[in-house]
Amino acid sequence: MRQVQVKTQSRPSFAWLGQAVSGILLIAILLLHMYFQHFQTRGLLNAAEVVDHVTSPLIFGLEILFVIVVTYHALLGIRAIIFDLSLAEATRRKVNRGLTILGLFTAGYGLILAILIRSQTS
Amino acid sequence: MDKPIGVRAGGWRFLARRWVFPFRRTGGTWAFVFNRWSGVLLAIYLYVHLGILTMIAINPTAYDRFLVLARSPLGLAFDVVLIFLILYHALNGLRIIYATLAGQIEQQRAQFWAVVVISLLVTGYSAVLIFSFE
Amino acid sequence: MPDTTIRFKLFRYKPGAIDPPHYDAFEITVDERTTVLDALEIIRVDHDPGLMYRHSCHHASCGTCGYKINGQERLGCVTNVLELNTGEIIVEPLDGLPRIVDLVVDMTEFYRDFSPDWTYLRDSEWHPQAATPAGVEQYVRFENCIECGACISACPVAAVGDVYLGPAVLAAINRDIDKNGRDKASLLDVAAGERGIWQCHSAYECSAVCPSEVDPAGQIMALRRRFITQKIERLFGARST
Repeated sequence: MRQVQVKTQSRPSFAWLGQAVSGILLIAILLLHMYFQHFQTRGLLNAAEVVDHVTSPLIFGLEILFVIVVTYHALLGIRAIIFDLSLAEATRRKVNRGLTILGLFTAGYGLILAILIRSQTS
Repeated sequence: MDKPIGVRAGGWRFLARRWVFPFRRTGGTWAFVFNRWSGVLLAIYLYVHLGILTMIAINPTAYDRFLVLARSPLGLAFDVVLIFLILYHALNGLRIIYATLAGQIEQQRAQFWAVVVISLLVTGYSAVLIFSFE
Repeated sequence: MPDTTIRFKLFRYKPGAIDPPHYDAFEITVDERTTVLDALEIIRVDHDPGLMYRHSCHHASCGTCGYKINGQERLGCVTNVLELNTGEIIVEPLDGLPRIVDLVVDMTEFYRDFSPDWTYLRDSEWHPQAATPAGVEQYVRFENCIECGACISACPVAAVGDVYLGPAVLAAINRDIDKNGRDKASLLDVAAGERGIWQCHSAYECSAVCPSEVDPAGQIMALRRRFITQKIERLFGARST
């Protein structure tokens, strides 16, 4: 059978399964985030209230998990859209590398941001 | 050399017809397109949100000034739209996972409309809460 | 029912002659039995002998007359004009395949992705209780898929690029696994590869437009379940069947 040579990873199922699993996780995390950060607080918090809120280990942990999982899910989704464009293998590898770097940067930035905000507690 | 996109059927204009304005396609394509666009918009929002949160870390006063806009009717309306995008994307994703596990493709159209209706109803309820808070 | 006049807008393209493509309009009188393919034949005979389109069996078993009719993939031979309930019918070639001329597309690459090793026969369910003649073990029939290309055209992934194998090929793989358990592992490898089932984004347009009850989307989901089951079995050390 004719095979277009498109080998960028040995397990393309990982992307789909990763997307599915992170999506299900995100639903749970998002429900908790929306409840604790927006609905239980009955509206938007000002800066001091946000800092106060993030001192809770539960909230802090939730937000770290949130930024990691949502970054993973978002960038896998962007990757799926880009890969549908039938690009050459070399370009696909560059896209993979670029999105991995962007993902690590985003999640890292979110983590540092959360620590910085938490450290503002007086 | 990269293969041009949709070279056999019109390049970028064809792509726009299928992935942006899929007129005359069935609900399945619309579900796919809405899922993509809601995902892209939410991915953009992720970075916008991180940017807004950065203000808390480096300039809390600026963040509190931003809150005036966020609490305005326009800002709250934006939040309502955001909630709809999240709900649709999440519920449609669950529909896709369910279809993979259970098949029953003939039920997909009904499930798609159920996703839309549930998203709208929950968004409506959230809108009432959001506007009552501020 | 009295005869009705319907306006047909046909996609026209001839390399070097009608290029870029445009649409030509024709007004045709139809009755309650006229199909889109009939209308094309009337146009070719009475109006424009240069119109080119494919057709063969005229009864939905060859898959040759697949076109986009008012934006939806259908077989021209069984699409009744008046049942479309519109005064204007736009006929275009299928998407996702190279255009040759007018409504004719190049099906070569589509056919190439089907392996000659896959079987195109299946047990017939029409006469389960019928006694077979001496020497005939089982009635058989052709697989549902008539390789019309409608699913490729309708698929928002396959129509855009050529990496994705597409619904028809993946459905054929699943059918072959159903029938030939001995090749299951290698067939599943092909289906779950870079060009396979994980490229599907669940628009399910393929099943919506299939004129032959293949249900390609259902077949792709079944392949995914087969793959996931195989992985779970391997994870727990069970021998894959």
